Order: sequence, then structure tokens, then C-alpha cells
Amino acid sequence: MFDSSILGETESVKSAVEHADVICTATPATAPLISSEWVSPGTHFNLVGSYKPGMIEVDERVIRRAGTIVVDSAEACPPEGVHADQMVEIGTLVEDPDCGSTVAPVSTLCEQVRLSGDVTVFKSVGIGLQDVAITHLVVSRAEEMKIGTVVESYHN
Amino acid sequence: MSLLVLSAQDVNTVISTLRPNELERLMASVFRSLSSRSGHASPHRTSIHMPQHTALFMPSRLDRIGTAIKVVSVPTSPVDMRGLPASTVLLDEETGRARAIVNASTLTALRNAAGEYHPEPLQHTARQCWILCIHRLCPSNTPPTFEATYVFGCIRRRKTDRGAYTPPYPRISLSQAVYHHQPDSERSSRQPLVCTSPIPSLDHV
Repeated sequence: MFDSSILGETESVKSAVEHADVICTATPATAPLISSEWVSPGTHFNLVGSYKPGMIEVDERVIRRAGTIVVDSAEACPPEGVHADQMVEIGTLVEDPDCGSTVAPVSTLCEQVRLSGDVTVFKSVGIGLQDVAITHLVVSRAEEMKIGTVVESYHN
Repeated sequence: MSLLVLSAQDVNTVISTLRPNELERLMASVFRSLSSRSGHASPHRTSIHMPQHTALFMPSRLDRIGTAIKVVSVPTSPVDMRGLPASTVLLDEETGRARAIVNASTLTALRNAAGEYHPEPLQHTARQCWILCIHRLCPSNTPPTFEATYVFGCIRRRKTDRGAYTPPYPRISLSQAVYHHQPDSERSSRQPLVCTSPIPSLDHV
């Protein structure tokens, strides 16, 4: 399953995984590339690669070890075998950012998620609303900075 | 009324002025809006098959922010190295007219590196995701720093980027499959990081 021909230097990957605090996978692989046995307790996973059923980024035992996993959208594609009651949306874990200059976590909920297993997992597929927000920010800033090409009377 | 056109270069120029805090606050409000089940609309994307691509049309709206549709053309051939062309049309809230058309390739990477396999956005995503899952579900507000190992099955190169790969950071070394990054500012709270990004059947490093 963890074929060295896929990853190349399997031993150094294994060693890197064993010593990692954070593992970020951006792979559309259909077979897991990291074995649960390599993963030390306390490791955090950011899974941003898979986006449709059949894609598997990490060993399913890693997901089970996490207990509750964090997702960007509960309606998007969860890792295989994860049910609704094992997911919490990241939007419920942060306070309203209007209240301060930095993003503040909802501590009690975060702690519940952290203590639900010996590793933590965030599964993100990316949501369309992020596009609207970033595009709006970039366009507003470009207008202020007078960057870009303006097509005058486009609408006339 | 005019239309603003932002090229990939324009977008990069603007992005370089954005502060991480600014993006983090923006994304926090987006995620909160999604979880509150109000204040937004995000109908399911529509796809159309073209001879060389699958075109994805992704409309969405956030109240008080705006309405937009992003169009991404995903190559149908796994050996197509021309990248993922993406544009977003942003509508004016008051008039309903197109306010801007924006090259969205970089913005997609900024949002989520799922479709982008260059180390630099991956690094960015690793920092973002999301703010490292709120600093690993811990109330500490210390921004995380990393010693990173990037694991690549292979790297997808852009067509314009066929030469030898040059790591974007001075202290990175690139070996056949494992890629190390040591941040310039070393701190006691160093957090080793592993990123994987294997793309089956594409050219190997």
C-alpha cells in the first residue's frame, strides 16, 4: 500500500512523518500515502487534496484516531467513512472577527475536538464563498491602488 | 460605468500588499457565515465538457460583500501542463453590472492549494489551513512557524516553467522526493511540517 515507487524515498518520508507536528497533504491520490503507524500522537493533519469520493489522502486509521474531525463545509466531501456526527465546521470554532484584530478561537469547542482523539484533522475542499470574499477584497484594493486595466464605458 | 480587468500580474501585485491578518479575519467571517446557514448563497457548480477541458462554473454570494462566478477549465488530459485557467466575474451590488473580471489562478491557490502543486502556494496553504486549524485547536495566539519537509511524488510544472526547478526560498534544498524548508526566523516553538503532493503520471523531478 505504501509503495516506495510512488513516494520515492520512503524511509526518509517515514522518518519525516514520525517527527512531524503538522502534516499537510495536497494529493488527489486514491490510495493512502502515509501509514497511521508512522504518525506520532499529537500530530495535526491538514488535508486539502481530495475533492471527490474515491480519493484517499491518509490511512483511514488516522481519521479514526482523530475522533471528531474539523471540516470547512459539512456538505462538501468528507473523508471516506466519516459521518455527520464526527465532523465539526471550522466556522463554529472561531469568534466573530469583527470583535478583534486577530482571529480568536472558541476555546471550549476547540478543546473538545482536540481531546476527542490522539491526532487532529482538518479536511478542506475549499468553498466558493472564499472566492467571492477574496475577489472582492482584491478588486477593492486594486481600485484604491489604481491597478489594472479599466474598460471605460463598458456598460454604455 | 466602467469594467475593471485584473491580469494575473495585477492580482499578484495586489496580493503582495495584503496582510496575513486581513486574510485571516476575512476567512473567519466567511467560515462563520457558512456555518450560520445564513447570509450567503452557494448553488452547486455546473460543469460543461469541452474537447480539452471540463469547464466548471461556480456561482456564490455573500451578503454585504458581493456576488461572483468563477470559471475554471480543468484539463481532461493528465499530461496537459498548461495549468488551470480561471477567471472570476464580480458583480456590482447596486447596479448588478459586471464590476470586474479577475484572473483567478493565483486567488485559487491563495484560497486552497488543492489544484496547485507548486511549493510556494503549498507553503502558503500550509500556513493558512486554516490558520493551522486555529493553531491546532489550541487557544494560544502565537503564530506558528515551521521547519517543513515537502514530499513530492513529482512536481507538476507549468508549461512556461520547464527549466530546472529553483526553490523559492534560499534555505530550501530539493532532493529527488523530499524537500526541506527551514524558516529564516528560528524560534523555540518550531513545528516540523510535512506536505505531500504527488501527482500520478506527471513528470518526475
